[in-house]
Amino acid sequence: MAGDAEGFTDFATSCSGRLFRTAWLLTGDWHLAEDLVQETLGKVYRAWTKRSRPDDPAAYARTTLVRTFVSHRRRRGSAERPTDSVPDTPGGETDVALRVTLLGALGRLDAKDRAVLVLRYWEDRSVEETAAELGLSAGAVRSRSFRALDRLRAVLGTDADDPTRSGVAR
Amino acid sequence: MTIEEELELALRAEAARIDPPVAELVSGGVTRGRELRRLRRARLAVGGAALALVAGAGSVLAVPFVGGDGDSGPVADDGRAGSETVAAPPQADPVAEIDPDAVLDAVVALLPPGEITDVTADALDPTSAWFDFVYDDGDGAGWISGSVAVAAVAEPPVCPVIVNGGTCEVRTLDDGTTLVLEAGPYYPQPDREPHRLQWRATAVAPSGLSVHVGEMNTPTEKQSEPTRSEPPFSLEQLAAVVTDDVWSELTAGVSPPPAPEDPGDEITDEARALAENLGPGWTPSGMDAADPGPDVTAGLPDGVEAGAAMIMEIGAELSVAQHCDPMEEKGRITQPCTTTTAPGGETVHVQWATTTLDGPYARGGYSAEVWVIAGTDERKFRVSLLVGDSADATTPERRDAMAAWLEEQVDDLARAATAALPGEQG
Repeated sequence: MAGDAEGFTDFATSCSGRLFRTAWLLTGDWHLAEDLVQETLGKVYRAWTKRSRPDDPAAYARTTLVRTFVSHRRRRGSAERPTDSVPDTPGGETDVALRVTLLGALGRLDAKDRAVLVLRYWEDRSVEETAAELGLSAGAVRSRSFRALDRLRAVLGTDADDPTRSGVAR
Repeated sequence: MTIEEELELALRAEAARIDPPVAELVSGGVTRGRELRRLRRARLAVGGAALALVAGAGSVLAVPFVGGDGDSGPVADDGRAGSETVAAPPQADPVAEIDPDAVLDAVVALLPPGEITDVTADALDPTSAWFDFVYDDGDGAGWISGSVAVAAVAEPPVCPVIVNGGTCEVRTLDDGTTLVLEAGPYYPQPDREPHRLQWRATAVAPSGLSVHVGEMNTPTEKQSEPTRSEPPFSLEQLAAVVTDDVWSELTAGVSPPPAPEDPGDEITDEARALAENLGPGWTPSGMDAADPGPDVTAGLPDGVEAGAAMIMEIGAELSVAQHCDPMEEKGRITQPCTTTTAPGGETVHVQWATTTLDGPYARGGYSAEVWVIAGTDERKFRVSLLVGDSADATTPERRDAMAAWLEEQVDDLARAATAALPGEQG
C-alpha cells in the first residue's frame, strides 16, 4: 500500500497544477476548484492499486474531473449558475477587460457547454476527444460548441466573426 | 481574431495567472481517496456489492460516470462502463438477499453517461429487486425500469404475439442464457399511442438468475409525451447490460425461493364444493376448478374443447357493475352483464365473452366464455367456463352450438357461485 501511495503522490504532484487550472476555468471559484481537484484525485487514488491503475492516469484524471464537474452542476440544479466574478487582475497578453468579459460569459454557460469549451480551447482536445471525455456524441459536441461560442460572440459583440467557423473540428 | 482565438487566449491567460495550491490538493486527494476506499470496503462487506450508490425515492443520483461509488469517471470507448465499474468482485461472504441499491448502482454504472432522476429501487422479497428512474443523456428523458431475480427453476422467456408492429428476437447464448430483445410500441394494441415506445431486454440464465431492463422514449411509463423519437439505448446496449457478469456477482449467495410445489393431484375442499354444486358429471380438479365429464360435454360439437369451470373470489376494488362493463381489448369482446336469477332465487350477473376471428388479434381459433357473478360489491364470487374451437373447424353453426351449450350450464354455474357466498357454504 505504501508503494501505491508513493506512486500516486508523484503522479498527483505532477498533474494537480494542470487539473486545478482546468477546474478553475470550469468553476471560476477557488474553493470549488480545490474541492473538485481533491475529489478527482481521490477517485484516481481509489483506482490506483497494486493490481491495476489507469493506463493513462493523467487522461483518466482529466476525464474524471470534467465529468465530476458536470455531475455536480447537475446535482446542484440547473437554476444555479457559477460565479462570473473572475478576478480583474492583470496577466497574459490578452486584453484584461476582454478576458474578464469572456470568462464571465463562459461562467454563465451551461456546465456541459462550459466543459466543452474548456476541453477544446484550454485542454486543446479535438471534437472527438472531447466527445469521448464527456460521454457525448461528436455531433453533440459540435452543436454545443457552436451554440456556446455564439453566445460568447454575442457578449463580445463580434458579429463580424463568421459563426459557421465556430464549433467545427480543428 | 476569431472568437475561438479570443477564447483560447483568455483561457490561457487566466490559467497562467493563478498559482495552484499543489501540496494541499495532493494531501486532500489522498485523504479523500483513502476514505473512498474505506467506504467501498465497508459497502462490499455489508452488501456484497461492488457498487453502492444510495438512492431513495425521488432523489437525484450522481451521473453514472462509473467508479466504484457511482461517481464520475471515465467509461470505455463503447459507451459502456469501463473496468472501473466493477473494480473487484465482492470479497465478503455471500449475502442472503439481493440489495436493491446495489442493483441500481450496477445498472446505472453499466449505462452510458446521463442524468438520473426520480429514482426508485426496492425489493419485492429477498430474491428479487426492481428499480426505475428517468434517464436523460441530453437528447430527451426516458423512463428506465428493470428487475433482477433469482428463481429456483429457470423459466426462459419467449416472444409474445406481436400485433403492434414491434419486433422480438430470442437468442441462446453460449452459457445457456436465453436472451429476449423486444422493441416496439409500449401498448400491444396497434392503434394506441404508436409513438410511445418501449425496448426491453431480458436474460434468464440456466441458474435461475433473470435480469430485465426496459427503456422508453417517454419520461414516465404512461400519460406523458415522447421526448425523443426512440428510447436512449440500442437493443445491443440493453443486451450488454442484462448479460453483464455483475449480476451473478450481486446475486452470489442468494438462495432462490423453493420451487412452487406441484399441486399434483391435491384436491381442495373448494374444488370439491364447486364440483358438487355444479352437479353430476363434474369432477373436482386442483385448487379451484372442476372438470366437465363426458356426460356434461355431450352437447358440444365434435372437436370443441371445454375447459374446467373455475371459481374465484373477486376483490372489492371494483364493483359488480364495474366488472360488468363491456369492453373490447386485444381481440376479446366482453358483453355487458345480464341480471338473472339463480336456481336458489339469488340474483346473479351473467357475462359473455368471445374472441374475434378477424383483425390483428385473431389467434387462429375461436373461444367463448361465460362468467356468473354472485354476491355484492363488498364480497362476490365468479364462476367461469370456457369452450374453444379451432380456426379450421369453426363455423357459425358450431359457434351457435357452443353458445347454446354454455347457456345450458349457466344455472349450474350460478348455483356454484351463490353457494360460495358466506352463509351458503355448508
